[in-house]
Amino acid sequence: MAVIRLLDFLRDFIIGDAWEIAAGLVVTLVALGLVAHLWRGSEVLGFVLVGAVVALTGWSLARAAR
Amino acid sequence: MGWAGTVAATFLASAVEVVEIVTILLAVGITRGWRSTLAGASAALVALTAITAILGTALQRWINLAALQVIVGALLLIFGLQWLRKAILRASGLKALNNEDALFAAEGCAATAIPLVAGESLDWFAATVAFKGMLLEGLEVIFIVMRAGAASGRLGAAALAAIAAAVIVGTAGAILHRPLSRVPENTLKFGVGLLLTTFGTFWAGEGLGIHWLAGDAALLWLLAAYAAFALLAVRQLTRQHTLVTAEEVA
Repeated sequence: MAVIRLLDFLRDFIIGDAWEIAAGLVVTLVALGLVAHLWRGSEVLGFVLVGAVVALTGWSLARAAR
Repeated sequence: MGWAGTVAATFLASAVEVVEIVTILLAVGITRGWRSTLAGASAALVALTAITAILGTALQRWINLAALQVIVGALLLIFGLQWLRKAILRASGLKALNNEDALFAAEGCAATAIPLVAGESLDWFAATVAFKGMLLEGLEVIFIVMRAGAASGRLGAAALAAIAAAVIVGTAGAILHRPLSRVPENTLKFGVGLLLTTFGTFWAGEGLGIHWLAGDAALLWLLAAYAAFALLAVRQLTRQHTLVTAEEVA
């Protein structure tokens, strides 16, 4: 029971009430990690990461505003 | 590198890292309270001391800084975006002001089965963010000292330069804390969300091997870009909220 409560607390603590942001970021970082491994030294990937963060937050805000 | 060069290079490089630590501690301490923030920072300091004492100069071989940057950066990014999202919703009138703290405290205390410090609740958000920020940046300072010290053969001078940087930047942070605590709560949370998102993006990107335009100065344009996005989002959502409310009244 204590383990379930602890897991529930951790889920709430890390993911919060916007699961789409946490899930989207994990997918984005994994994908960018793979691309960065093949395409070292590019500054473009930084802009891709920022664009993904902005897009995810915008989508999450639009969902909350509905 | 001579003695003066070692000291100057270590001081400046360490000062940049300490500014990042102080910024995060100030942001979290003012908005979430100092007890948990300092508890997290102290725990990181103890961990850093223990790691350095045990591993010594072998530290750089044992700890993968890139992996640590990705993990800490991703978590800071998730935390930062949670805060920023809520601050945007509050600023645009879509969420009531101040209800989150009560909710967080109630849920945090009810859900956790972890023993609490001296019978009182510990703010895990503040403690964790402070711990991670301090641990990651502290490790970077240690690496800077080891690199500069090993290159010049003046480890003691490099360590003293880093300590001087920590004392000077830390004192400036302590002086700044009072004026910052007068800023309205949601504005501060908005700022903290922006800062955590900025640092999280930067560290996660660095850990993944991404090269940032302008190097460490990328923190500034990242902050400006996220601030512009957040302000635009507040404007757009406020307009949308006002329209919906006017339609409901009509």
